[in-house]
Amino acid sequence: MVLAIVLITIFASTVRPAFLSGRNITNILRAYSTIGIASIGMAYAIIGGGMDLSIGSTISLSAVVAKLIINATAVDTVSPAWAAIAVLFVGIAIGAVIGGINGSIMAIVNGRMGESFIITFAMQIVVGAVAQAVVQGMFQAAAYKSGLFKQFGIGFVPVVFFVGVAVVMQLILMKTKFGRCLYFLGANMSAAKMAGIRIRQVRLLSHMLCGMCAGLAGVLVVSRVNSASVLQGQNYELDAMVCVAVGGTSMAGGSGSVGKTVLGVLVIGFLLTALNVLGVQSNEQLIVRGVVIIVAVILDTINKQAKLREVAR
Amino acid sequence: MQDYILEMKDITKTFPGVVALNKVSFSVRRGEIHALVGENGAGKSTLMKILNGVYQADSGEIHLNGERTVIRDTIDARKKGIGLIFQEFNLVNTLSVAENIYINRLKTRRGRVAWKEINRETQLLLDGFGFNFRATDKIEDLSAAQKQQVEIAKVLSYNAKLVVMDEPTSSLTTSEAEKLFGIIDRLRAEGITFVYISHKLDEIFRLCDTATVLRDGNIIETRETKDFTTEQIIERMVGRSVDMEYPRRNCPIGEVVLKVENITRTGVIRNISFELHKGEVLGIAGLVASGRTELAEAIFGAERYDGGTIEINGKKVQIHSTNDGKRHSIGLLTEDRKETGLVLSYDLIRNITITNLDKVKRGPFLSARLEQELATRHAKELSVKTPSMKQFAMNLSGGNQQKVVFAKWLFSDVDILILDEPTRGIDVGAKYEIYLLMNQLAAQGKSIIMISSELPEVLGMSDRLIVLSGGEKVGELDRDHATAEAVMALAVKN
Amino acid sequence: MQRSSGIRRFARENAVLLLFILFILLMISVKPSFVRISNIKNVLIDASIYGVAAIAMTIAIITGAFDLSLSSNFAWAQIFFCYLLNLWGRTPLGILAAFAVMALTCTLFGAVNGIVVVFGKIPPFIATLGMMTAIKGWCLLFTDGNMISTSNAFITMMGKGTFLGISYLTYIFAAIVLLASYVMRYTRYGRNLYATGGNLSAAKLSGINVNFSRFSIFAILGLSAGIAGAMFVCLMRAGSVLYGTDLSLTCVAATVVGGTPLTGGRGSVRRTVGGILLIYVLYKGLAFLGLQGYYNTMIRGIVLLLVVSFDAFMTRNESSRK
Repeated sequence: MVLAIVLITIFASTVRPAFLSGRNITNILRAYSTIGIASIGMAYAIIGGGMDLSIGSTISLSAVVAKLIINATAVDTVSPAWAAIAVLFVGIAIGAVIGGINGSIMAIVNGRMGESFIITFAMQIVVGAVAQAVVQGMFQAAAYKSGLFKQFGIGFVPVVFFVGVAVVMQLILMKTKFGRCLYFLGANMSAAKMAGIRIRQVRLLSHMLCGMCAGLAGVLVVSRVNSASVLQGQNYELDAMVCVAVGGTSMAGGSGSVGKTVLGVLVIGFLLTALNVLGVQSNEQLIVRGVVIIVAVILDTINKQAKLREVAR
Repeated sequence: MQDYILEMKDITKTFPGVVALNKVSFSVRRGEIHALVGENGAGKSTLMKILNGVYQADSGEIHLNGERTVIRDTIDARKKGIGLIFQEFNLVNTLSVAENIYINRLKTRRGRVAWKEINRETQLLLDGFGFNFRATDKIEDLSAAQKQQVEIAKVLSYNAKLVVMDEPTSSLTTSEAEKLFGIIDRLRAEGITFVYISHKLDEIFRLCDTATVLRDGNIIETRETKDFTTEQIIERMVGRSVDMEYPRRNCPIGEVVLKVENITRTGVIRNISFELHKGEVLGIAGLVASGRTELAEAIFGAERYDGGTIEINGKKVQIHSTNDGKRHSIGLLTEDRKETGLVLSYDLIRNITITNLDKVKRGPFLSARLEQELATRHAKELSVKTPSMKQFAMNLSGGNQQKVVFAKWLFSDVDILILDEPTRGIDVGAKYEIYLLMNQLAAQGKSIIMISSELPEVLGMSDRLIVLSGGEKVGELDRDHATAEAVMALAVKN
Repeated sequence: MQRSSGIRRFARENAVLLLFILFILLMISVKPSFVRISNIKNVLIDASIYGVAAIAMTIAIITGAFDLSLSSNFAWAQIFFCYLLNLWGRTPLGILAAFAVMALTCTLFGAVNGIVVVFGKIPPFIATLGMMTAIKGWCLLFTDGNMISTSNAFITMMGKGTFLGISYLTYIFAAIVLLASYVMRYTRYGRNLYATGGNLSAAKLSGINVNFSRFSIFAILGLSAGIAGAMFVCLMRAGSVLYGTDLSLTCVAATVVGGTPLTGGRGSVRRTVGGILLIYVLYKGLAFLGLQGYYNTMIRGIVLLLVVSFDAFMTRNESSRK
């Protein structure tokens, strides 16, 4: 993985020397912080043997609501500090609710990967519509211009959030009972059940955490980009999946980590920025993302088969 | 000159790490019913799978009707007149009987599948046997016995001349088994040859002309059943004289720790009641599909139960999930340790500590050091043979894997252990170690329920035993009165 | 051993169907004017277009496969068809060629899905999700995000024309339903699909070429997207990435509402016809009740969510789930 980053960087910087500048790298880190946070959430869902395709809409909804609140509470185009903090919580809460619904349904129907796909896919549509409703029916106040909220999007702050989330989530995953149970659940659901693990609770919680990450990401996106549209979250779920897969976390569940996902985010970040620099348009990039995912999963499958064969020897 | 329909000569087959078959020579005379006997892992299934084209032998020859042949795959085997009826049926549940029998060779008239004709011919076939289901019934609506009958019909519709049946009566009631024997007798009269794999010696003596004993991949002996006795067969299967030494146990049996009353799960088990005492080993015997595993699952919380009560140490408890079962100090070692007992791709430490992660916490977090320390200690106590605790579970031998599963439950300090076929697929030496372990646990005051299909094992290890048949409890015997005959008599009751 | 009793099975297969009918009756009682010829005709036409794809999706689900990329493939079909029509549409031969070429590309996309799933051994969900994005990107690239429209006379006639009061498009749909129905019931190929979906290992051991079955299903899905896309263009005379984003999920819902469970191996194409019709009646009804735009989408989404959750719940103990 690290090799990939290095290769890409070398390649890109030979074409456009400006690629290697400190400024550029900062930009990449900042821009991909939000995808990074969403990817970490997705990693939880995937490690647990499922998937969450609704994070795109979750991000949109949380972004839209965040913008609304900030605008509404801005005084003379300055957004007060307390509003900024509150919005963070609101965003996370929205994510928790959506994730909670996902998780509850999954828990009730004893779902595995297939079900999680369809159910979260449908959620994506529902929440997307909710986001639209919120935008449509509300009064748009004058945009804020400064204040604590804006700080969230400047300089290293997004990266700080990213790192913070990564550290916390990794800790939870590696060092708590819940995290360990999540791994087991993804590795072998029947064995997990027979070991006395509370599968329903673990599932629910993992989806909630995934949603919360998405909610947080949505708020940060607004801060950074200073706008919020219902299309904000589009493709986020795919990007997050790509980052997780590229980072080396198996799509089948039961293995992987936040750290690997962070690496995946960096690779994708560098890759896509390099493509930008090389003049590849966003549409073509879309194709690239689609292809990358397929390739990453193929590699992962090959890797797994090789490992099994080796061990059996 | 004997007329052999099948001769397998010097068949050798190895899998990574184990020699499954070692220069096995096996011959079947035309028109006979030939029994293939052996313990688990003796090689019976492997030999038959080679015959059926599922595996290819590493060396050796196969002769059919006197001619040397190579059996490439299952389709080839079928063409050559060999039919294999698996233990697990190979049917598509969502389709009808007729469609399953004619799978991939549906008759067509002018390109169009001729359903009427297919159904009609299938019905004729079924009526010829006197089966009581219709060609248009869906497989998923049939009972296990009926599904087996479909397999038989299917195999014969391919004009099989040599039919191999692998543990055919494992899911049947006595009357269904009798019906099966009638079918086999009739088919034999029509010239079909049978290979009958079973561990039920009384069936073998009733049905079969010849018996071949396999042990650890080697042919031990082939003899006509009229010249064989039960003890002799068992001796050759096991490789030692009949009375295996089961380690003696002499620990005090205390008060009732578990009381199960009228446990019922509609359609599966009915009104089962029993008591379990501290320091006791309670055996549960019965034929396959008599409801033993289902009973265990209900008590542990893996499956729901519709009626009845469970009392632990005198208090009524509600067990609705495996987590409940665990919290009430019950642990279940499942039948299939590779699928549901362990996560094969994880290391031993992880597998062991999962049942009680609270124990390895330091503060709010898991402590890797504590995990390693405690898991290693447990593994050592059980003498798990492994180069390192970081070894993946899949790399251990069967016996050691089972020990890890034991360690896993001991890690959570459960007092009641339910063992479902604890020595299945384990070699004899390791089996003995497991028996010793069971005794050790009983001496420590734990209570054990042992489910086993190996009669000698249940008889040798239990203080008391209950017998299940058809989902109901049909008898309870204490150690002094428990004999193989008594248990079997109860187990086949319907 | 247990048998599922007749009543239980009936309930399971038709539960969602009945719920739907109930809901629709409810709607009608609220606004009786809903039942109007023009509404019925509209519903039929919309249902016919998506219905073609839904039929293919049902066949895929029976075989044990799944395709999320239908939406993008559908969009591509519209776009490319309009584009080719504008180039070649002046002659009947040109129109035919335009359709053929477009359908070919759609089928090829489907074939790629097939290769990735069957030979790359990747779960259909992930593979088709990736393809969906890739095709969408390709569409955006091709059109620069714009809509392409056409004013081809023949196409317009196809879209507007009716025979005996029923749109040509509905006839096309009916023809496809009949064809698919026949293939699934009366050809070896169709029955092999059922077997593959019902028990993959049993099918393999019986000599069925499961790889071919599964591969071909993806190609068929691609083709169906092409046909549906062409039909769409007949109706709307335009094509864009924005149209048809809910196709995949609607097709799944139609399948489930029609009583074909997602576990595979059973079900029928004819039932999906009922499913898609009911779904469109529902959609129309929602619009009619005054719900527009996002509320409409929201309720659609919720309905879809409930439908698939219900199916997952009913099949929660079956082992053959993906």
